[in-house]
This record gives sequence, C-alpha cells and structure tokens, in this order.
Amino acid sequence: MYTSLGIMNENLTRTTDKPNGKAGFLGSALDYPIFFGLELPAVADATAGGEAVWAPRIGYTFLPRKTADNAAKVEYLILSLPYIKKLGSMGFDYMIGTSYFRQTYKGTGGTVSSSNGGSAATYYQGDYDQVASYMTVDFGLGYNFAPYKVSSELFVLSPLSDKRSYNLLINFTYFWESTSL
Amino acid sequence: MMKCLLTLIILFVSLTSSAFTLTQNNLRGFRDKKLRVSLNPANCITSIESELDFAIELWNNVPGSRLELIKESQNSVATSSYSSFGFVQTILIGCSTNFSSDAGGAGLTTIGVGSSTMQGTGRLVKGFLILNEEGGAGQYSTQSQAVRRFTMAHELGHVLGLGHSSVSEGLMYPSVSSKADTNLHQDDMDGIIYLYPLDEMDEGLYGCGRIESGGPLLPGPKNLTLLFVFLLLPLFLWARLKKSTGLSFSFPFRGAEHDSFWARRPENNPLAESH
Repeated sequence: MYTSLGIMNENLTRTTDKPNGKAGFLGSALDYPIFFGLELPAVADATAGGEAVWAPRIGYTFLPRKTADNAAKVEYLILSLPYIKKLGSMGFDYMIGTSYFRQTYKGTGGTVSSSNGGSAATYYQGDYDQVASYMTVDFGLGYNFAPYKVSSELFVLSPLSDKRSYNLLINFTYFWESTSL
Repeated sequence: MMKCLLTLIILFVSLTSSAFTLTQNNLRGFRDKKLRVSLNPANCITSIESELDFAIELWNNVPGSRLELIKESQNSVATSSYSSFGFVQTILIGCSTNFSSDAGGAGLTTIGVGSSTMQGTGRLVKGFLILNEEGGAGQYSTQSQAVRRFTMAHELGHVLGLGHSSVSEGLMYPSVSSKADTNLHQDDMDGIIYLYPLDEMDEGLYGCGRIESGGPLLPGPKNLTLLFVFLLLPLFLWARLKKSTGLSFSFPFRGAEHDSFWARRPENNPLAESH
C-alpha cells in the first residue's frame, strides 16, 4: 500500500499566462491530488526475471482548485493503473499506464459586471455542476529511497486527437508496506 | 540543492488561477456535438478565411471539451438579417458595412460583435458574429493580423456562450491591447469545458474518432526537450539531495527492512542461495 501527494500542472505548452498572449511551457492551473494505491506483483515479469509491479491507485483533489473571484471549484477524481518496472540498479524505475479522469466543475453562481465596448455589461457565473471525463495515457520516471519515492509523471490527454494535451504530475510517495507474494 | 528544490516548488505554487463568465444566466451551451460555422465573405478581407480557421482550431482543441466546430460552405445571408435568421445549430459570420445598425447600435470603435440565442432549456440554438467594415477605429480590415485573430477567436467565444473574464492574460478579457499572440488561458479552457464537457465514454476513448490530418502527434522539438528536462529534473534534484544528506539508497520494493517481493527472489537475495 502506498500514499502519494502530488502537484499537477495542467495543459503544458497549451495555455498562456502572459500579457502578450504567448503560450508558456507550464500551464496556469495547479491541482493537488492525493493518491491511495496498492502494489501487485506482475507475475509474468516475475517468472521472466523482471522486476515489475502493477500499482492501481485512486486519487482525489481534496483541496479543489478555485477559480478567481471564487466563481467555480474544480475537482479531480483520478483512477490509474500504472505498470512500474525497475530501471537499472540506482533506485530508478519507469512507469507506463492509463488513467481515468473525472473533472468536476462546481459553479457558485452570481453575476459580474464587466466593460463591453464603451459601456458595462452583466455576465453570469455558472450556478450548476458539470462533469468532464476522459482517459489518459501515462508515462513516468521515479526515484526510490525506501520507504519513499519521488516521481514525475506525464498524462497524455486525448492522445488520438487534436485535443491532445499534457499534464505533469510531481508525486511524493510513502509506502506503508511492501509487496509480498 | 534544497534551494533549487524550493525554487521549483515556489515556481509551481506562484502560478495563478482564474475566472470565466457566461453570457446568459443558466446557460448550457449549444446542444449538438458538432456545430456548423458558415461564413459570408462579402465585404470581408481575403485573410478572413485563415483567421476563422485559426479561431475554430483554437476552440476545437480544448482538452476535456466536446466542442467541435465544423466550417461549412459559405453563405450569402445579409448581416442585417443575422439576428432573425432561422438556421439552428449554426453560427453565421459576416462583415458589415452598416455595422452600427446590424450590430444593435455598437460604436465604430468596436471591431466585432458575437451573439447567440438561448432557449428556455438553457441551450443555445443559433449564433452570429458580425465584423466591422463600416469604418472608424474598429474597422476589422485595418487591424493587424494579431488583432484580427484575437477578435475572431474572442467573438467566437461570445457566440459559444462565454462572457468577459477578469483575467487580463485570457482570450475573453475585454481588451486586445498588448496581445501579440492568441492563445487560450486556463480560464478560457475552464469556461469552454464548463459549457461543453467531454464524456469520452460516449464519444470514443483516448480521443478516438477525432483524428485530423493537421495536428502533430507530438509537440515540437523544443517542447519535447523541455518535457524531457521537466521529467528528469525533479529526479536529479532528489538524487542529489539524497546524496548530500546521506539518506539510504534502496529500491522500496527490495529494501531488506521491507521484506519485499524483490528481495524474496533468489537472484536478489544471497541468503536464499546459501540455504
């Protein structure tokens, strides 16, 4: 069993947070998912002499991302199935896997006055919840120092379409107990 | 080394988040998954086609959104009748030499106007975008390409249901000043996902079914390098930190103190071989 605390940066290279509108490498949204997971030996690899585990996990952003003016809260539920294999003898490993993302927007409602042309106009903040769900393909590298691990993971959203985007997750993991047969 | 690590964390934490608004109360966007966009090129400059393509691609490629704008054949509907036309699930785009009148009294400092009609269900049924070719400081064809692109994408955002945002870096900010490039802020993406959320369980997993010829499979070489650096950098920093502080160096799965799966395998456990 393990628990991870992550920092996830959304939509690498796709968004701008600069006054001139140019896109930067990092996205402007941060989320803090906490994962709970299990390590399950990959039997096929064990018999073949490899060192690998399946590490299914569930993640949730208990601290939701709030938009400015507190117009909405954004929460993530992430179900992942990573396959992790040792990489050399230096404590590194790599991960490939897939994840299901459930992204919930919780609108808080209300109105906002903004300039529109030469006058002011009233706009509305959403007052209902919306859910987007999608699958990702995941890649990662980790460094282990028992019973801890730090890893970088890249989630590829909509990899088969032009909507393709990348989320970067830096994860700090604590292993509560080790895998055993 | 710790300073480097802290710098990295502060860099992440200092990034800001944002707010989007909707043009109408209880708005839920257009109903259809595929939304038609039709241009009337009369009175428009020739580059309008490429600017429209740019804006469509910008809004189509929001991850987590189901929105799919499809450019249809050109139309000949007069901009004066845009507010009363009857094509549902369609966005009409045109340039007006009588802009103030066609755009409901907008001044000539305005470059364009986007509007849409909502039903009682909260769903949008039709929309239009009129660009100023009447004259004045807001005449569309006299703007720079950067401003024309920004205007087209911004007004299309209004037609899709987004209101103005307080985020000055965002596309839906009410001023184009100092924008040399047109990209979406996370705030713009949040807004369009809120109105048009993607459900891949319904629409093809992993984006399947939305393959188009124009998009690259991977980001460009510069971004690939950056991705590589950002994947490895935290690991490198952590390894250096461990070395400088003398932390133990072991794979969690094979640590002796954890009696792990790896340690139980004979080739990893000399004690097992000696028996």
